[in-house]
Amino acid sequence: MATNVEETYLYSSPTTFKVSSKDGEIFDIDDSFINQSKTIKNMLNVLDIADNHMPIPLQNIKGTMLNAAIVFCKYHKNDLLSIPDDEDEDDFERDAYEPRRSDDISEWDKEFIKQFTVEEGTLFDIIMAANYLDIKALLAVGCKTIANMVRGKNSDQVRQMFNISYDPPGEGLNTPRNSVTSKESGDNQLLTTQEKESRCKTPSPELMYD
Amino acid sequence: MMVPTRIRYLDWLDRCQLPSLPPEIWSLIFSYLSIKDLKTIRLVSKLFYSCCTCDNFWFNIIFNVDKWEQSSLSSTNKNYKLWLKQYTLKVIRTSNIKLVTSHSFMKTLKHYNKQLKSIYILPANSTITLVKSTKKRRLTIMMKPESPPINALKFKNVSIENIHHYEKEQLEWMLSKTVKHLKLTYTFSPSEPPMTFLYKLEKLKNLTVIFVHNFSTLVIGQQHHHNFYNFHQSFDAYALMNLNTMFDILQIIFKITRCDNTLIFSFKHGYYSLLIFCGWFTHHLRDSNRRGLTFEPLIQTQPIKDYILIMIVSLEAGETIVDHNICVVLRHCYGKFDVFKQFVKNLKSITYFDCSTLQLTHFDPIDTNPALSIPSTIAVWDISSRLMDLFNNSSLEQSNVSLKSLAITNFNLNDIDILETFLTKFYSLTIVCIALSSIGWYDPISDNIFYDRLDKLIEAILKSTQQNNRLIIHIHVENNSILNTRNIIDDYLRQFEYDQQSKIKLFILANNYKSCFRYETII
Repeated sequence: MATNVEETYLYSSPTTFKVSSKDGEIFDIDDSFINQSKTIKNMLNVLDIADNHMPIPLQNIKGTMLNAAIVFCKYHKNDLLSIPDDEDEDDFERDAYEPRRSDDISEWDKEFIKQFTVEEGTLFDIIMAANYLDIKALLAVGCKTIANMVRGKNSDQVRQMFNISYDPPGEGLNTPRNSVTSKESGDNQLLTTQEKESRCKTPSPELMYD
Repeated sequence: MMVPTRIRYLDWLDRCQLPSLPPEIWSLIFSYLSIKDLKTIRLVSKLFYSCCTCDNFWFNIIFNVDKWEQSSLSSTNKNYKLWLKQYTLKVIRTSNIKLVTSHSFMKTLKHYNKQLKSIYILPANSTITLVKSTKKRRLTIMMKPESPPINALKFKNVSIENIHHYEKEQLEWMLSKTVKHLKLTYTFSPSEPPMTFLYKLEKLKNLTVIFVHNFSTLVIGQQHHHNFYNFHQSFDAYALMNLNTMFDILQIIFKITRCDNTLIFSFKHGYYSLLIFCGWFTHHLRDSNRRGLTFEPLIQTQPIKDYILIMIVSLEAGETIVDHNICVVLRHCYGKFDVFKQFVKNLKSITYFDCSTLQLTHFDPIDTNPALSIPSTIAVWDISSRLMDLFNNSSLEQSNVSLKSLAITNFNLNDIDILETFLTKFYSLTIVCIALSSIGWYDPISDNIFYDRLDKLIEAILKSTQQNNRLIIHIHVENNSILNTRNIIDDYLRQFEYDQQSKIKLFILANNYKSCFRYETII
């Protein structure tokens, strides 16, 4: 019965829209996607698109990721209400630190997320896409997956996993300044402006976050 | 040989590429991890470190000082040092304030928690669930250190609970320039914080001062009582008065913000309208121009607009106010009769006068017939029947034409005579709003609540007012005693059939008189 109702609803009012990804691919999206992605929902409210022929540009997302997100939303269209709201954690009596649960990924989600990997960076891409589209469920699945990967590993293993280079104190990036400047001192005139700029910006991984 | 810079730059770019998620998403990911995992994650890179040292993770670790033996809390104890190194502490729970605020304790703590910026200290048995915060913050207590201010500790967030027991130095110590958020809770302290403290408050920028009224401390001894009525009784009179004042001010603020265009601008000198509160949290009110009023468990108002000059004067100071088109609210306060008499005399051009809950004391025993003169320009009047009696005795014979709207709170149906005489003095009344204090009797057969002399009241109002005028009468009956309001109104409308034909409109309402719409229809 339920499926019948949905079908008739979809056919009677064509609530499909078109979106275009970063690389120009165009996808059809329907209710299931619009309802789960707050960004799209807000966009549709604000833009007030009358005809469905103009695709909504989503410049931050690659086509493959957008396609995956649409597949994910289609599968999860019925369990919208079951997403727990993590905002409400204001429990004064709770003393101990209790991390959020990360072992509750469903089988389908596990299979789904397997196509994305850290090595190719696609796992990060799908998380970024989920974040941009504001799809809570997909974001949670992605984050939980990474959290599960990290769990129980020591820092070297984590570095290896994410391919983060590590300079022990006194080596690499952490080499004392003097040795670098002494080599460069004679060649200042040869620098192009671009390189001067790059020199002005002291290379530092700290720039990412204050 | 420009290679080194170039290589370093490219190298840096390369590094930034792989974990290409923004810090907030890393934080989200790490929120699924346990403390143990977080500790290793912190060592991975600077980005990871900064992502998992943000407040959210560490706020839930509470350093319960009481569980440690005092001797073990010294900087020489190895276990203690190790323990401190492991955690980024933000919240400390203790009953021993002296220890926590001592110089050496903080120094050790600071030494092992380099990024410690704010500390929240919870008393051991704090009851803090009353206040609901939107953020993950805890109500806290912060007491003075035994030693002079510790320079190493720069607090950004300071909370003070129970300012009742404040000491001057203690407060001043708090107010270093780094304080960004200050939370004050005080349990109906009889006096304000000292002036130096308030001046210092003024100087601080970007400061949100929140006054929290700790209701929970009021209900000591309520265990013996079970129903709400008795619960109310267990407040001591002073606390109850303060409680009422707060709610009243809230309501006034709402009225102002809701109908500021009608109420404020329609006064001739609206820019200088004075709102006189006989309050005791005067500093708070003075600040409302800039910061709005905060009633922590209830509401935060917007800053009250500039054009309302909020003057706070006590009843005694009211004597000095003359010749302004003003708006006076005297709520839940006690005043000497003489002072009030003088005050009313001086109110030459009052437009809005709310004295319904004023209680007068110190009557002159020789004066057997105490009388008050009625302000000549008053337009809206909120009054109680006791005061009505006093104004009835006024020797002034000529009738008042300015009063348009009259509101009587807590009207007892036995006082109908007083009301009748009182109403004869006013010719241009258009709105009479009466909130009954007595509870009607319940008729089980018709399932209705009846008021004994309600019809007599209406008759009295109609008799004493000018029949030619347009007149709106509201009668507010007990809110929860009405079971079938519709029927009652119908009954009374049948009884007074002329209501529908003439210009007189009668409403019998079961809603709370305090939110009556009379304020919007006043002028």
